[in-house]
Amino acid sequence: MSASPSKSNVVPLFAMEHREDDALMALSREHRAAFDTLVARHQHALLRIAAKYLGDVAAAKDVCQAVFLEVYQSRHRYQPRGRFTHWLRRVLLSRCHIAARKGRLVERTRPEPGPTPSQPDELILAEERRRLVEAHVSKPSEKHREVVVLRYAGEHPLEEIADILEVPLGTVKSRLFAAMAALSDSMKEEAP
Amino acid sequence: MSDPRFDELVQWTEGEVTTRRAAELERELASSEPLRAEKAKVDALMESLSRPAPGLDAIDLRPDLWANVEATPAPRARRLPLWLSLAAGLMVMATLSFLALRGDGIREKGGQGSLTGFEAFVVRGDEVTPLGATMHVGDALGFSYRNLPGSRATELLLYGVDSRGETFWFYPAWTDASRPPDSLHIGTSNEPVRLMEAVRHALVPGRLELHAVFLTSPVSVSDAEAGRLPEHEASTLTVEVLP
Repeated sequence: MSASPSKSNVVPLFAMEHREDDALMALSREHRAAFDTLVARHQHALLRIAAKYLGDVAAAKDVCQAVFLEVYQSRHRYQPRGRFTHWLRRVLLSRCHIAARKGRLVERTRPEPGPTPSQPDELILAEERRRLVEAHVSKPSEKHREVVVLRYAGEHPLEEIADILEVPLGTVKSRLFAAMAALSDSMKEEAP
Repeated sequence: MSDPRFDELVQWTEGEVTTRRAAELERELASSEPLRAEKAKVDALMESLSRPAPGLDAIDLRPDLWANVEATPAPRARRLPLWLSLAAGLMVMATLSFLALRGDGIREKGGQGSLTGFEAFVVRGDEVTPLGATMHVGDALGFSYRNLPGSRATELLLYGVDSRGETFWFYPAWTDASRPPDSLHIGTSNEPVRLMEAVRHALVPGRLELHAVFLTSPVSVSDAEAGRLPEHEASTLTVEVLP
C-alpha cells in the first residue's frame, strides 16, 4: 500500500538528498557499495571546491581522498542529522586549510597541460583567465577564500554557505564581497 | 584599495542591491561603455571561479580510495576530556551519590561471593546516576571497582563492545592508535574504589556490553584485543544505548 502524498511529506529536494546521504552512510557501515555511491555522488563537487581553493588539481585529489577516507573511517560514529553535505564541506575545508598552510603548494610543481591549438580562441582565453584567477585565489584570507570557493566552485547559495560555515548570512555576504575585491585588487596589481 | 564600483557590480550580480538600484544600474549599463567593460570583468571573474580545471570532472577517486582503505588502519575511538569540565561537579556528586546509592539499585557485577566486581554510573551534566538498562548516546560513563583483600588481581581493564563489534576503551584510555597503553594498576581495599574520570565515547544506538577484566599481571590493550589475556576474572554488564 502506498501512502498518499500530503503536505507534511513534502520536503525540500536538498533536505531529501541529505537524508539519502544519511541512509547511505548508515548502509556503508556494512556495505562498501553504499559508500561507493556516496563518493560518486559527491566527489566532483568536492574536487571542484578543493582544486579552486588550492589551485592545484593533484593536491585537490589528495585532499579529497583524505576526506573520503576520514569519512569512511568515521562512518560508525556519524550521527545522522540530515546535514551530510554541509558536514562533508566542513571536513573538506578543514583539510584544505591544513594543506594550504603546510606550504606544499607554494609552487605548482605539476602544471596542468595548456589548451590545445584546436580549441576555439574563446575557450583558450577562458582557460587562461581561469589559470590567472586560480593563481590569485590564495590572496584573500582563509575565511574569505572558503566563501568564494563554496559560492562559485561549489555553486552553493549564500544561505547554504551560512549553514555550512555556521556563521550569519550577513557575515557570508561581507566575506564574499571582501574576497572578490581582494581578488580583483590582486589581479590588478599584477597586470602590466 | 577596493573599487566601490566593482564592489557594487559584484553585489548587483549576486542580487544583493535593492530593486530600485538594480533598475538604475540596468539603465546605466545600456548607455555607459565603461560600466559595461567593468561588468564584463566581474562576469569573467565569476566565470573563471566557476570553471573547473580541464579533466577535473573525469577524475574518479574510488579506486585509489579503496586501496587507501585497505592500507590504513582505522583510528581508535577517542576519550574525550570530560574530566576537566565535570571535575568539580563529579567530585562532590560522586561522593554523595556513591554513598547514597549503595544498595539502592546500582548495577553491580561480580556478586557477593566474588572478591572482584565493578559498578557503572551514567554521568549527564552534573547528574550521576546508577547505570540502568538503558543510556543515551551522549551520556558519559563513570565506574567504580571492587577488589577486596585476598584477591590476587593487580590489574584492571575496563572496556565496552557495541553490537557492531567496535571496542571502546574506558580504562586505560587509548587515545593514540600507535601507542597501546597497559592495564590499570590496582590495589585491594575493603571499600569500592571509584575511578574519578567520566568517559564519553561516540557511541551509536544499540546494545553495549561493558567488561571489567581483573588480571594478575599487566597486559597491553592491544594484547587484550587480540585475546592474549593472562590469568583473569571478568565481569560484564549490558546496556541498551538509545539515540
